[in-house]
Amino acid sequence: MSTDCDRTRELAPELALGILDGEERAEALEHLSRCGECRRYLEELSTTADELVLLGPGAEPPPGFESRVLERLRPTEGRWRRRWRVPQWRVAVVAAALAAATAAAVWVATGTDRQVADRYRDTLEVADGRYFTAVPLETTSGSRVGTVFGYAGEPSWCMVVVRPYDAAALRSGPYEIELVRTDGRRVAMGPLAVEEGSGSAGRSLDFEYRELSEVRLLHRGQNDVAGAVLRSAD
Amino acid sequence: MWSVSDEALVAGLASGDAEAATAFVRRYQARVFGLALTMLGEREIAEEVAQETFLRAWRHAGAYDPRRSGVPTWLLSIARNLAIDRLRMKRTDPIDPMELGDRGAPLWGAGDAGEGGDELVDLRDAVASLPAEQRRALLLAAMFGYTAREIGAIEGAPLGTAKTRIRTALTKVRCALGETGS
Repeated sequence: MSTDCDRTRELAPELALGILDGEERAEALEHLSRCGECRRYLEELSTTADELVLLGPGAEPPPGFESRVLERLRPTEGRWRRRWRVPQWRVAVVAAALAAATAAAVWVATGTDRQVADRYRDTLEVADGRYFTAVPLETTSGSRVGTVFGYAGEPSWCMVVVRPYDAAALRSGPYEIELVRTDGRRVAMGPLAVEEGSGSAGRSLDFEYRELSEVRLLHRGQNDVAGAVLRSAD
Repeated sequence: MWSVSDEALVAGLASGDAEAATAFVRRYQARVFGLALTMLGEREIAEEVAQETFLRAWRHAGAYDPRRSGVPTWLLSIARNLAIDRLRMKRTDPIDPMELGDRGAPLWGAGDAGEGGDELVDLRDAVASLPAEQRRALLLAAMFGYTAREIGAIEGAPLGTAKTRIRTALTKVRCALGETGS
């Protein structure tokens, strides 16, 4: 165990409680992306931290709450059934290239992937019920700075590709990728180095693909620089 | 429907069962709204967050894993994370400890805040047996989403002390629950 582990374990409780920000959070996430032991420790603390919600006092909601909620649930029934048909050869080429890049549960940082980033923008059905998703990566001001790819299969993986678009380009430097799960919990995915507005990184997921909600890019000292929503509330 | 287990309700949710959805909302609306209200302090925003919580639970019921946590924890964690996102967005005004005191009152004592059965006894005992300043720090973080820096400001303690209290409290509670086999 190194001093990095000691430092991360100091920060782990705040991270587990969801109250760690900025520089410290970036620091902790960077170490966690490389250290399985600390990740397991954080997971244990997170389980305890999550249980604390049970202590909250209940309160009677305003009248009509129940019917308002149920009304909102109904229109969404068919949403997950949406599928897009694309030429099989295109899908096969992309899927093969990206699957090969992340074949084992190994961290891979590749070069630019401009052609891939440009071509796909929708959810595609690959084969046997597997899904391939491509979503724009945008800054908080709405500028496109890259693309996030997600693949549901064996294994599932996620890949972030950064490249310049029109006049916008991310500043060069080290970034951290963070995955946000559907339960709101955040998981470190690892570092991404950007040079001259370009860079990419990808990794297989160690949780279910359907639990992946968003991908965020963080820069040291700041919180979210850019993000992509794979599975939104709407 | 009232004798149906939590897990069965969530399974019903996952298969788009409207009856299960109704039973689910009825069973948990007070706890979800209660947590949102505790964290946000305003009924209107609390209702928005509570509605959003059920919406997310409905959409992601298929991803619920009973091995990871019980249904209340899963659902209330969704609510808590949504509430924290909201707090981050609007937390530019200075903290008023007096306002906090009112909202926090039911949690501070070792009494029976919250609802639930025997499974909560261990958790409440573990939290109640913490030294007061550690308990406050932990609840401020868990129930209100305050950062260590904000907790230090509320408590009038240095940042390092706040961080230590949070860390010590959480690891103590974890150990206490671990010993009882939760």
